[in-house]
Amino acid sequence: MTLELLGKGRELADSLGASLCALVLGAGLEPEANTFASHGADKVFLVENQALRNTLPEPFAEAIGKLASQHGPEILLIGGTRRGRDIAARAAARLETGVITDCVAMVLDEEKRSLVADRPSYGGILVSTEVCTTRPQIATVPPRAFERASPRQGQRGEIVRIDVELTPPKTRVVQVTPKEVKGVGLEDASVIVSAGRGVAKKEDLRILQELANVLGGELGCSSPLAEDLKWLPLERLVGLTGRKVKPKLYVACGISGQVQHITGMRGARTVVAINSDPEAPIFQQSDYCVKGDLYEIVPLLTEAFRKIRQGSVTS
Amino acid sequence: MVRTVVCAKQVFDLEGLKVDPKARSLITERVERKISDFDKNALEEALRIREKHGGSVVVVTLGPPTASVAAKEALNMGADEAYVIGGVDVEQLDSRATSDILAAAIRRIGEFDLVICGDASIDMYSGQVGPRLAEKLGIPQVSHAKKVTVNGGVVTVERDLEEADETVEVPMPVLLTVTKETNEPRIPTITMIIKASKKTIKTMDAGELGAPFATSVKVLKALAPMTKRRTETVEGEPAVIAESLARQLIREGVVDG
Repeated sequence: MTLELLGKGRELADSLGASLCALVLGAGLEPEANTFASHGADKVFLVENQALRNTLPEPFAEAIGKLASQHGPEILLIGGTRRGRDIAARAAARLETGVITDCVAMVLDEEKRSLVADRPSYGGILVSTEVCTTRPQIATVPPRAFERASPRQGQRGEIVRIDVELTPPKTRVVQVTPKEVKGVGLEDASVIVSAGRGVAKKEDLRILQELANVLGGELGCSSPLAEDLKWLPLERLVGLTGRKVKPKLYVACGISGQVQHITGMRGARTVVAINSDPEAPIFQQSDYCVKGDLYEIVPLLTEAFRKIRQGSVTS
Repeated sequence: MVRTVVCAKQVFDLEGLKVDPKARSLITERVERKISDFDKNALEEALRIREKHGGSVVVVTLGPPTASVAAKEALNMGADEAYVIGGVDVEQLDSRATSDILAAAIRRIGEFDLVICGDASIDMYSGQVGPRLAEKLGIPQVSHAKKVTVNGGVVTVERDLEEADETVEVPMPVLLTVTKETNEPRIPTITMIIKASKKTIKTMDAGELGAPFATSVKVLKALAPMTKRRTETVEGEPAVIAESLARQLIREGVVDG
């Protein structure tokens, strides 16, 4: 995550003619500091303190607040993990400044030396373009939004150890249980075949599953199927209240196409919609529109892929 | 006895929103307003703590007092008191100003043991107000709480981080933020609503709280993203449609041939 911040940070610093500093807070983090020094940071501030051991927001915000007051950065980028977002907001309160959270795009207004950032709002229905009028400008960046910094040959930032006096946190961490990684991963699927209300019975999802199997894809659905009918688990829900996906191919079967669903599938490269209602709004948001019966089309499509592949193997 | 303050934001029901494709803006007419989802979980958690340990639940919200669906909803669910802070245009407030006003209001209300907020509001989803408020009140924060247990003056919280579940212990006063996994908010019964109708919504004026507030983040524009799609109708007999579509998708390289 920090390498992604360094990648974007380097670009911003170069445009502003400013230096790029990495702030490394914790205990036993010298290897990380070395990595950042070789990946484009001009300076790496290394703060090692027992209070920072458990990544609790209070001492982190205190450390960031104190260092920022001392060094006056123009822009502070913080990783948009749950911990990172907590820390950013708490640090911003200390520094009496703003945070633009979840920035998916950032450009500079070079004249004002200000960051102009895009972030999703209203569950992704809108993209909001925001600026922070006070300094430092703090932005949190979601994972995988920007390219990681690559190592820089022959250039090495300076590592500066700093002692910061920190208040011991009142919160005591009793237990940490790492999570098991779950199976589905709709966000990583390259093909998603999604079901909507046009599918009449739960058993009929099999037809869509077969198409997904042929394409090496995953089965998804719109909100009524996961939230009301509960035919599929929530982790297969695409939309406002579910996953935001970005497959190469998204096949919407019997989905009407309310904005709440579109919000989840906007990132797809190519969208195919199959719906028997020729007026369905989904067609406005699709590349290929099949105005017909999914019960007829989907099995034929599965068959067509099978045939073409067999043909290409034999020829 | 646990004195809890819950912060609740009034939002549009996102499920009811539509987009004007020309203006690329939200159509909010006739869309209902309600308490933001996770804030309702915050109130539910506060009510459960009161039922178990005694004490009080006070809800604070910002907005025009006459139109406070949030305050009414909170009283219906069983909050002892609901304050609406008026005298400010909520549309113009960012997280910084909001948390500054809330901090001043909470101090005005009096002593407290717990402050509970939703993890984030469903509209802006920035998740800043909880942590900022904790900093302003000078108390620790525990976010993403899944399970909350109060024992004497200490709160044990099981929390959900992306890569791990974490259990922490923290002395009160403390600020917690919760999500929809924390609990299932109660739906007020008619009896509860009748009981609540005897309570009055209390008001405060943001300008009279004796704390200055300022904004930092300015929204330059907020537009519905419009992905340009080809909207090409594939015509013909079903079998022809299927085959030409399959070939086209392979040609485009979105599926393997």
